[in-house]
Amino acid sequence: MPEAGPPPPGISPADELEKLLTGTHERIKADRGVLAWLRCRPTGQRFGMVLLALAGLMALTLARFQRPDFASYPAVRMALTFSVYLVALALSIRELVRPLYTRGRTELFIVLTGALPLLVAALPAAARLEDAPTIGHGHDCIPVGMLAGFVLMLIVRAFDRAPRVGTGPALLLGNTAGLFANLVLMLHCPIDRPAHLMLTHALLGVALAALFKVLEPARPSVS
Amino acid sequence: MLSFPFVRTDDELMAAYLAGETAAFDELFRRYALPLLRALRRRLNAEDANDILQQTFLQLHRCRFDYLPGAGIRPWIYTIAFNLQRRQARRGHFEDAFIEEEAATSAGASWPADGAAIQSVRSAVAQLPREQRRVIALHWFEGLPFEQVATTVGASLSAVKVRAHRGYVALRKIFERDDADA
Repeated sequence: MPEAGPPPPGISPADELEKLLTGTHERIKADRGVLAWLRCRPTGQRFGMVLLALAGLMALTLARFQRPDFASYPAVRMALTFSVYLVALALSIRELVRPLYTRGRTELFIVLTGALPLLVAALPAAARLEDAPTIGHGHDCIPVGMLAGFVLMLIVRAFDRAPRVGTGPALLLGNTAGLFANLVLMLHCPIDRPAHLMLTHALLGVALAALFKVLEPARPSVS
Repeated sequence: MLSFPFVRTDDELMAAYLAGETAAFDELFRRYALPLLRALRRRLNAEDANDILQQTFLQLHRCRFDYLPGAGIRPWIYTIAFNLQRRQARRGHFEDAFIEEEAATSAGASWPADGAAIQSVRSAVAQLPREQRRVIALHWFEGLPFEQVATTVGASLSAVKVRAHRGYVALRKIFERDDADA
């Protein structure tokens, strides 16, 4: 690790500090626009706005792209799974938009958001009164899930106050996006065979984390 | 810590900044930037240290509406800098460097005439487990109350007190052992 060493001759620490203060003011001055306004909102408001946006997307899915067996699917099972996903999603969103003056539990939420879709996928298929109409369905799970997850990443990034790079943050954001994709697909896809859920729905988090790693700059100085 | 009527507290400065007084932000910067920069530069190169410092205060600006009077600016600033460094995958953890720096400075200020005592304290604190060392350094060398230490290290108040107690017991053993060796 290179040593900083003393400031160049002729520049006192006080001068250097004033220079850094001027640079900080320039960064604050450049921090304008809608994104800057969103990021300056109090944490409770940012959290609420993210959840509201995601609720809107889920309502849209339910209204326009609803799974054909929605009415006949066991309601208790749907409600339980949906609730568990929703709570986990809210907790991980809270972690994603948490203010930087608090300590996070990133690793815990990576495990939670990564494991939950796998656990749900491993459950036996729901017993139904009639067969689910699966013909013509299930082929669009990956694009729909990726799109839903990508939108979540955009929304969270809009409200996130600092850039995040590195494997841990990418995994957390990717897994959370994957969790949201699973929620959307639960409302959209009628196929609940474990193999389908495991190979398409549950692995979306990994694909989204990889996508985030590709798209995010290696080390943004500020955003 | 002594307080002077003409020196504004952190809470007063934050309130003034929220009311639109830019000079209050400058005063906070001048109050906390130097020790933070010193700690950052012990583990990061100058460019990264300067960048993290400026981003830390940019984040303080972004977080200003979250500020609750009494929360304390100092733990905020150090936690923000630590999180930024982690998020942006900068190499080297400055937190220990910060604590070592503060320990050295504070010990030197308390016992200016006794170099051996300073060395003895530094050496004893350095032997503690990391979690205990952080709590003791932040509480004793930084002067943070346990509530703020808990916020800074991300643990509960009771956990922080337990760590401090264990640290004191360990320090006593270290000093007794050193005395016996001498």
